[in-house]
Amino acid sequence: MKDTYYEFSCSVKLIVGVRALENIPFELGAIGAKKPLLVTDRGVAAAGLVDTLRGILSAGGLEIAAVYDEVPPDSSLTAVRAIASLYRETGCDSLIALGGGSPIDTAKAANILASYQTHDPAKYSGVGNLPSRLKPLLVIPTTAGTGSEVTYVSIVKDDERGVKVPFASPFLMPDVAVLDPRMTLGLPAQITAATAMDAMTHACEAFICLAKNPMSDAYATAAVRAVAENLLKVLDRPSDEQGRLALAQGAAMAGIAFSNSMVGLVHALGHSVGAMCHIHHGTCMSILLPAVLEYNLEARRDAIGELLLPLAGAEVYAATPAEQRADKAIARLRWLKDEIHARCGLPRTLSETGKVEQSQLEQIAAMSLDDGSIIFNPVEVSREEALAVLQKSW
Amino acid sequence: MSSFRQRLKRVYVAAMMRIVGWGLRAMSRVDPVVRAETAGFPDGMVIVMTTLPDGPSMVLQKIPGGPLRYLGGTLPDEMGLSIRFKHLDYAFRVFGFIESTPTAFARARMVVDGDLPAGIRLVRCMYRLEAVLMPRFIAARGVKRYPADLRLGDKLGMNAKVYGRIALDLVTRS
Repeated sequence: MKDTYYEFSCSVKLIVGVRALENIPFELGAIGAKKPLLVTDRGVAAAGLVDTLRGILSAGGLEIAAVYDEVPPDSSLTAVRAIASLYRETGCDSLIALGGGSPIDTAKAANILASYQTHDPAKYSGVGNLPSRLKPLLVIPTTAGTGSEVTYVSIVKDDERGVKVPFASPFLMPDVAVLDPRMTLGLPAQITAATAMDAMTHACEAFICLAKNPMSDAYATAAVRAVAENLLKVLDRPSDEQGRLALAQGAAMAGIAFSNSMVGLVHALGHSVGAMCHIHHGTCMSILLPAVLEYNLEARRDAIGELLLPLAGAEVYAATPAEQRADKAIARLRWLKDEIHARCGLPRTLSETGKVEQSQLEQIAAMSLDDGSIIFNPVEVSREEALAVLQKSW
Repeated sequence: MSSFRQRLKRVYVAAMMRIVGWGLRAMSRVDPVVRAETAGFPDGMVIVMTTLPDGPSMVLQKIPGGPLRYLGGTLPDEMGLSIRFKHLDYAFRVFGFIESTPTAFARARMVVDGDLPAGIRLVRCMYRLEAVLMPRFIAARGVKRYPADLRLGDKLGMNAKVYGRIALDLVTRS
């Protein structure tokens, strides 16, 4: 290991557990924020989470200065600009993002415009193009999957040009992320499963891709264990607060892992399937993960074999000969998919989604070759090989 | 490190960047694999590979509807894609085949900015360039997977075409 080199960072303060929300007034006060703007979406607001949060903050002496609850499912630059305008008009001094990946990414991008007092996000897109610190941003995830609460990336759709605009900078890291089980208790079963499998995929890819390192490995294996041990329990008993909290922690740990070691072919294919066929990102990840691990098997047999321990536990791991562990880990993931399907109907194959035509697979394969994630996959991928993985997942 | 070694590294990286620039320009004309990849670049896009803080650099441009043009080593104001090595030593390790291109990406040796899909295509073009122009034992150190379908006869034939095209481009300054 004389040639070891890696970079690792996570500057987000995590506040985790029962009644974690009650700590927000103190935390925002500690970083000098008194007038937060709340960014969320209609679904979260309709579920009553905004009112819950408002009540808790108010009791702690903190009033939400303004609420923007129209973030679309894929985020958008239109929403980003509207939030920045609202921020200025209402004299806010900080942002709170409440929701899944879309409100969180939107709030991160809006924070750029609000902090730099500009209407033009384009000049800040790309990697490392933010010149200075942003306004305080506190994030409260209401799903357990994207990991956006601990990453330095925001991806927002440009409605006019029809493209996704990425922003990546250490300054985009939220100051604080609050994981409170009350925020994910009402999540429907299929969304719970899809987002948890998104986290599972982040962790598995972080563990086998080219930028893996000892730090990200530690977070990745802990995340795999958290999801493997708790997802089925939560699907069986949705009111399981501890299980929900474990999934939220798993998603955050997977987020820390993959934002430091990147993802690979599952995401390259999944982004293309999602873009072309409008399938939920987590569902794509769940469908594609086992086939991609099989594709990478010979290059990463040892690493995939190590995943059996957090996936299936010490007894199964110890009872499995070393050379069979990788195959068993993949089989375990397939078993998990079947169990999830039996509980909430989450599609196991592309055909089960009912949204993908077999004739689209070639185009999906071609599109995935230009995805940024593919460079971190341990094995070089040709169009024919990408197509074979898709057909295996059909 | 001595300034002499530093200067040597700089000269080597500058020379390799020029060879890569010439090579990609030639291969975008004569190699069907690189031609297909570069066809996907937006017309007129300027591609920059440089080393922080002040070079060496290599600049290419996609001729509308055609191959790549080599624009030398002077950085333009506008660029569609830039790949910036964070340090001369990192560029030296990649161009010296000490560290593969994918490993360099994984270790964040460079900052990629602009059209990311075009960046992925450029990396595939560089893999192809290394596989075609370098002896297999060297090329295999720079790429993720040496192409199984590149037999020695095909490689030598393509080699002759590419070097011939490089020579022609230098003579005609196209």
